[in-house]
Amino acid sequence: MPILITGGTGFIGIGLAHRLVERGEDVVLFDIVPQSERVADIKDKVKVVQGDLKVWPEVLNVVKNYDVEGIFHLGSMLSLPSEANPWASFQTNVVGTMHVLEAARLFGVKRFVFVSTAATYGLGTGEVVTDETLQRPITMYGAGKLYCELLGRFYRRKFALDFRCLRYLAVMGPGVKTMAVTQYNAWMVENAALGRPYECFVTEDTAIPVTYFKDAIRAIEMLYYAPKEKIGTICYNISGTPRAQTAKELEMAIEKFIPDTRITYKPDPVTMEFFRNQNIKVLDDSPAREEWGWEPLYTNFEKIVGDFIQEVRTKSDFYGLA
Amino acid sequence: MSILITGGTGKIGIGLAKELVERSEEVVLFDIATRDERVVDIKDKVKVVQGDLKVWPEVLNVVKNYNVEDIFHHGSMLSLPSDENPWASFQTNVVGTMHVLEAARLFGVKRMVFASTEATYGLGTSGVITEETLQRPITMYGAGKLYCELLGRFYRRKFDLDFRCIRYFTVLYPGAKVRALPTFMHWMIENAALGKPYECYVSEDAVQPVTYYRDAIKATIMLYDAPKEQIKTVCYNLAGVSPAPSAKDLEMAIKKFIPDAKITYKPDPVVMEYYRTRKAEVIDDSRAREEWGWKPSNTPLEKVVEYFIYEVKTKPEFYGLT
Repeated sequence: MPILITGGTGFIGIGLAHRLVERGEDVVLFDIVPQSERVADIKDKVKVVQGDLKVWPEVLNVVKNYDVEGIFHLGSMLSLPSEANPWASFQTNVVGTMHVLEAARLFGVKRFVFVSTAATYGLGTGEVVTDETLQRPITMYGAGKLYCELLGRFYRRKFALDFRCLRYLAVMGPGVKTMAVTQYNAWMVENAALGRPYECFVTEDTAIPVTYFKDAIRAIEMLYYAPKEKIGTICYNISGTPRAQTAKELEMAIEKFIPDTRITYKPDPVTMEFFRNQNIKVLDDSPAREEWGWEPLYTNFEKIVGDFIQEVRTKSDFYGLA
Repeated sequence: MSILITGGTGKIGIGLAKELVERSEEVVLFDIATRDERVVDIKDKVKVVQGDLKVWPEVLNVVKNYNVEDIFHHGSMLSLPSDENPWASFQTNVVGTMHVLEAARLFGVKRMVFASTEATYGLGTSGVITEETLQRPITMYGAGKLYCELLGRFYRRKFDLDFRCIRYFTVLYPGAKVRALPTFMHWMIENAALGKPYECYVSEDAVQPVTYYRDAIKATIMLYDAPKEQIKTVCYNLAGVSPAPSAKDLEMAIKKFIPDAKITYKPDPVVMEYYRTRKAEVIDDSRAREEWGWKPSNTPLEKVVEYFIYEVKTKPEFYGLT
């Protein structure tokens, strides 16, 4: 029985697809803009379906036609695009998630993993964010994701859907094209690795805990395969570096590998407003650790940057960076 | 220029309409099921428009055609109907609110007052509810209302819509037809007043905050009138009788007036799950007091019951109780 990944050829989706294929799973990738070149190496083992979360029959069709048993619902518009076009974000992220939940209910999907975000926190957030911290997002993106968390919990209670959810904070990895408020982390390393200058869109002292994409993918995979009885908290914060690290610290970590890197700073006001409202220094992921044994492997910038540069230099075609 | 009330022929809608008509405002009542019997005494002074929040052109039409300047958005499906038909609730409460927000944005509406609810609280509550208490509702209704609060805040920030919101903690009035979570309170008093026995669908110890109808109308109008610069918290809890009474407390209060009232208890498990999750005994509405001068009337439970019984006995036709 296949596993469906929405946003299947996106940043996390592709990495996850590779992991699932390695496990011998049948995988269906649903994406509005399928980047088929990114699944060239596993193309015989995955189905790629072009479709739009906004169009409910397309969502229901893919679940029914492929006899889908489990869903990773990763497809969504990200933070800044959602802010720029809140109407599309409402349709894709909120109405679209309703379509996926409905498809799961109507066709008896067994397990549903949803990717949420620490952007569901916002106003009133202190420096340490736990699962019990007030979630009062100021962005269209955060508001929609929070509502979808609650919808998932509702489907779990009302329709016994095995809904589980992760909240990522700032995932960094190679090959991401879409702008997001924390994307400067990845682009700084990526450009340095490619020998290009980089103009960073936040201030030097902007800090956030980051998760390396390999950890992010491992976390979502672990959550999916965790036995049902271990799921108590339902929505889990996932951290990486134990504390927030600044853009400047990242620059210094890069310089250890690439001494002549050229990084300048030109803060974007919209992004900086986001960071003024959200000042997370520690994202407490202890429920994930306690309930299903989560532990990140990449917990400092040096480890992350070293592996990141290696990825860019050895697989630039795969990441579309050639 | 006129003032639009969605859910306009609902009980709170009518109460608001009467206040506004007294101030010679032009009032438009938008409702999916217009209850003309409730409009009788002000029918020459208000426009009643039948329409559905789910149908966006109907929402945009009423705002455009009546040159609406301000909106009270009170139309919505209530708690238990939302849980029984979450699909309709999604369309009416969430998509419908998006339509109202869009109408406000597109046609330059100045001020929007949104009716939210105690049901936006749930998991993680422990008795005292402040503006900073985690809002993690378990119901479809609560989740939708919370999302709409956040959408309103977003429209306020992004589009300068003067959005304000009041969280009612159960407004008691006669003639409630729809079974919502706390309607046992309305029906317990109403049946006693009509000399009928009542089987209550929660346990005796279920605690339910309750607000005197006139206090709720007064507070909503005060929030609407408050100068823009006084609005900081944006969404305000409205406390009523404090501390919140249990079902048994209400029974005792009723029996002061109607000693032979016949009240029995047969708790509904679906409803009780909500009461086990959501702990609300003391509601902190200090922000409303500090920012726009709300003064709780300190109406005791007995007074609320007395007023309610008087209304039922003197105006049964008005409340559709004959």
